[in-house]
Amino acid sequence: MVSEPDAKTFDRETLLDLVVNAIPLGIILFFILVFALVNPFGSDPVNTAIQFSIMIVTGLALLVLTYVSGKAVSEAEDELEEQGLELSEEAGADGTAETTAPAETEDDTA
Amino acid sequence: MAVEQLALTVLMGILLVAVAGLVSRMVDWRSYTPLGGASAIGGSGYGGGHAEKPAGIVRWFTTVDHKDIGILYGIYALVAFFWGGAAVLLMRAELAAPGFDIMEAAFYNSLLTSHGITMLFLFGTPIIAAFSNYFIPLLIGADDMAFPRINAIAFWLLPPGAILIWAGFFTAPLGLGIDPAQTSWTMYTPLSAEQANAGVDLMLLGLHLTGVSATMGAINFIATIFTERGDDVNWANLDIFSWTILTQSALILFAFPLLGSALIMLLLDRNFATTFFAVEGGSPILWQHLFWFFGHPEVYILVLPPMGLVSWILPKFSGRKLFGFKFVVYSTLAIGVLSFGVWAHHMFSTGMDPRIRASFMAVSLAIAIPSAVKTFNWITTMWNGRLRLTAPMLFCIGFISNFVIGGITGVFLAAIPVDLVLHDTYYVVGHFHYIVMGMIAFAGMGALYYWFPIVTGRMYQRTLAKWHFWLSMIGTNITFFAFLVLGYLGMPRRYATYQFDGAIAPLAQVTTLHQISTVGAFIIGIGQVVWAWNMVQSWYEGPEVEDADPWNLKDDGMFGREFQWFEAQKLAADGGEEEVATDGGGVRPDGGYRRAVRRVDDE
Amino acid sequence: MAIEEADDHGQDGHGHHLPAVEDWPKGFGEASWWPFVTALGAAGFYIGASLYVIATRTDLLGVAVGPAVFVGSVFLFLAGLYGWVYHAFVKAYWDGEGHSRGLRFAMVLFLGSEVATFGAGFVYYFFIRTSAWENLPHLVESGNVLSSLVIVNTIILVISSVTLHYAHVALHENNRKRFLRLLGVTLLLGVVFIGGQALEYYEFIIHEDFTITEGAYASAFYGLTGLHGLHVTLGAVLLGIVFVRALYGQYDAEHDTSVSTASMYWHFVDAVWIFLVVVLYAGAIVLG
Ligand code: HEM
Ligand SMILES: [Cu+2]
Repeated sequence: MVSEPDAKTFDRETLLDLVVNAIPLGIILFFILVFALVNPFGSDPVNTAIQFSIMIVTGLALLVLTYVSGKAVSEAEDELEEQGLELSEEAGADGTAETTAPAETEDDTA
Repeated sequence: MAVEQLALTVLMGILLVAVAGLVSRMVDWRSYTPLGGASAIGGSGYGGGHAEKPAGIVRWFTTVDHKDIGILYGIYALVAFFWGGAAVLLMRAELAAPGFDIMEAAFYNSLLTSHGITMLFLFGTPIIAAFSNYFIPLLIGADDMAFPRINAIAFWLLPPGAILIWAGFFTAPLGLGIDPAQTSWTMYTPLSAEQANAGVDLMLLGLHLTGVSATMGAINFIATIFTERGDDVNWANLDIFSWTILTQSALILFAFPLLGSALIMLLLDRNFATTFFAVEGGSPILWQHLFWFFGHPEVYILVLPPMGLVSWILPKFSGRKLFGFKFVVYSTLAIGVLSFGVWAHHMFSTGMDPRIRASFMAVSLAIAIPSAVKTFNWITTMWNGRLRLTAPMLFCIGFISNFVIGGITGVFLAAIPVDLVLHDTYYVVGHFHYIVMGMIAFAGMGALYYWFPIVTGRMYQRTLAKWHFWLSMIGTNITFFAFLVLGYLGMPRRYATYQFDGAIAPLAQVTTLHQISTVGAFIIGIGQVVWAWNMVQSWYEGPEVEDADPWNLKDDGMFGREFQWFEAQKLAADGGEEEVATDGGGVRPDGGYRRAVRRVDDE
Repeated sequence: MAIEEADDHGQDGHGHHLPAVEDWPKGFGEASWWPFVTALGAAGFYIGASLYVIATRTDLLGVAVGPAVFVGSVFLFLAGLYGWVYHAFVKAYWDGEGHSRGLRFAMVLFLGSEVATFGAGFVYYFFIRTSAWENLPHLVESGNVLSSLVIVNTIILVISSVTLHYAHVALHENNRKRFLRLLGVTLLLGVVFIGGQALEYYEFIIHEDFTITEGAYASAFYGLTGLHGLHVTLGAVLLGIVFVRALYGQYDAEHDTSVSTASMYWHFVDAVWIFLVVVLYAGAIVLG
């Protein structure tokens, strides 16, 4: 699924959109660092491992999903642009039905 | 005891009348058409003059049409809403004074349990399914759901589920020894494992059944959104409501089956002497871990689609597109992922390892960001917009305002030191009611008004709708703000009485605050009566919608796909010679209704 | 569930269609009795279980009532399923069209939900493994849980996955005979596995006196192997349906949707079993 994206996929605009998820990631990262540096409760192999894996696993999962979805959306945008279709969620809203010429995509592989 | 019996009898009487009314109406719905003037076309309500559905009540038992199933979900959810509402009004009446005045603790506990379970599982999830069933296929240009029959099955599992969950209330007056469960909605062990009453087992079984239904629905929605989109819909222009349903379904996919297994394990503990949640086995704490691993995602399962509804409706009455659409999409996905990493914030005071507890705090604080981002997006959408304060819009604005309080109190609770003070007080109850009532129910109401013209072909009464909004908004804020204050005063949750000594909490203030919130609850109740009247009366007699654009969305270029579909249906009903597809957003291979639309436009 | 999904076969993602044109007693296009009947049957399982519980906790009913309702519901459920699936089959078969992408996708999603279903049981096991690992049953102390029967059974299940895979390959090569033979072998191996499990339960309960009430480990053991056993049984039913359809010649290299969904399910159940043997059988005695 993680095929090499071309540079255009993650252009400035897409990256800007993805910033929104960088903030929670930053917060998690912040706490990882804090908990690594300040450790009032001492260390314990099992509990410390769980402590860090909760943050690391959720953080990584968020990173991966953000990447995958950003890629999918951005590629879909390019596709729409190529077909000259509208980007808005209300496509065709202003009665411009001409632009909605159906493109034949074949996804049925019986 | 006598009062309980009376209350129960009244409750059951109301239910019976409601059911009878419902059945008679269903029979009447022989003539139900989704379009005002569609009776012209062969009585089926759908194009072409050939019936695709049997007449009368049989239609409703046999339908595999996503729109009909959506209506069924909606009715089911609203019946549950009134059940849960009736339960809580009885509870609030009991709490109007400190002592045991109108019921015993056992009956209060039963009502508390039934209220929570009903509102979350039988109202919350189904009302969302009502909207998603009816509108997702229209919004993404699909013919129907990916699996129409599974869709029907998933719905038909729900009524037996509700009957099992509520069963204790029906059997209790008969004195058979099967009483309603008194476990609270969290069903914590060992309490839930040790109550010998069979009503608890029935509730657990019913819950499992509704969980199966939700999982089937979730698979169906994900498959639909991935594989059934129209040719002109892809990830870049997928609407926001579909995004939230997609995320919600993914959460359901992992959360509900886990709850299902936990429920079965609890049933085995209760009936076959296993040790899953026993001290000498998995320990009662295991239940809490499993329950909240389901339970926290569950709260987002309930709130994400309402957020999607508001993100969809709010721009329509602001005259502007949703500000930062992509932010809303990505933050929705972020909430989906993060919500699996915060469950133990419900367990901060269980004595878990402090290091692990700290991690859950970290992720809980992080999850507040994507929630807050959405709030800013809604506010900036309205900023400098041309606001039109219709009933759906009012509910959207109320939703945002309530979320500010509900969300911020959540962030406080996510901080361990604060939570240790406020845990198990009314503060927590206030927090989540600002969200479940103030957001989920509000968004549901807003969407009901917004789409009322499509579903019924008629318009509701606008004045009554505004009454409904203001009563709900004022009632909600009175009731639940008092909860927050009660929590600060130390009032513990889940008690039928509060005759404690002054060292725990100042009795006079607590009593006053309880009375205030009882008043607030009844204001909400009156609001919902107004609403129910409005819905029923308008469905029968409301003015028919002549124009397919009742909200004047075309002016702003905001005429969404669901209304485009509605317009096509209306055109067909008004004698367009071209036979219109029963369904779907016009993805007929030959370009179907779109051509019909254009032809009319050209004239 | 997987069978139910097989239903919506004759649909394609394009063009307009009505989902239930062919149905009994009368095709309407958007109406079918089968979902209602199936749901009623499924709800009957829960009602049967409820009646059983009521009978054990009160003296309102005989204990046989619940199981009787349960069995009755099985028939209702199967009837619903059959009617439903049949109408979809006929349509799909005659139309020669499939809804394969959606079905495969739905199976993947379903398996995702299964991970959560099994997850809860394994979490329990890890809980007792770390904190309540005492008073172990004799079977575990002596290391006899991991009997030769289990090992043979595991090998059988793994082989069945291999044969199923090659059956699918044979289908793709349009080698019908080989496909049928390998599919039959898979089904047979599955049934043998279930028999082996039943034998193991018999041995443990009757001869070793190791029942579900024997403490923390017994709960994990019977909970997880029982859940897995149910899954294998459902898998065998699915394979049985596929086998019958194969005998009727309903598959070829291009029409193999339910072969591949059933395979996915079977491989998944197989993988769960290996995990289960490693942690629940071997893990119990190795790291004790
Ligand atoms: C801004 C994000 C949120 C945060 C940080 C948050 C945090 C918390 C915390 C820490 C608790 C536990 C309080 C305690 O029992 O001591 C809690 C309880 C609860 N929250 Fe939230 N919450 C948030 C949003 C939501 C949302 C969106 C919903 C509902 C849709 C929700 C529903 C609930 C419910 C139902 C409970 C109580 C569960 C119970 O004990 O019965 N929360 N929340
Ligand atoms: Cu939570």
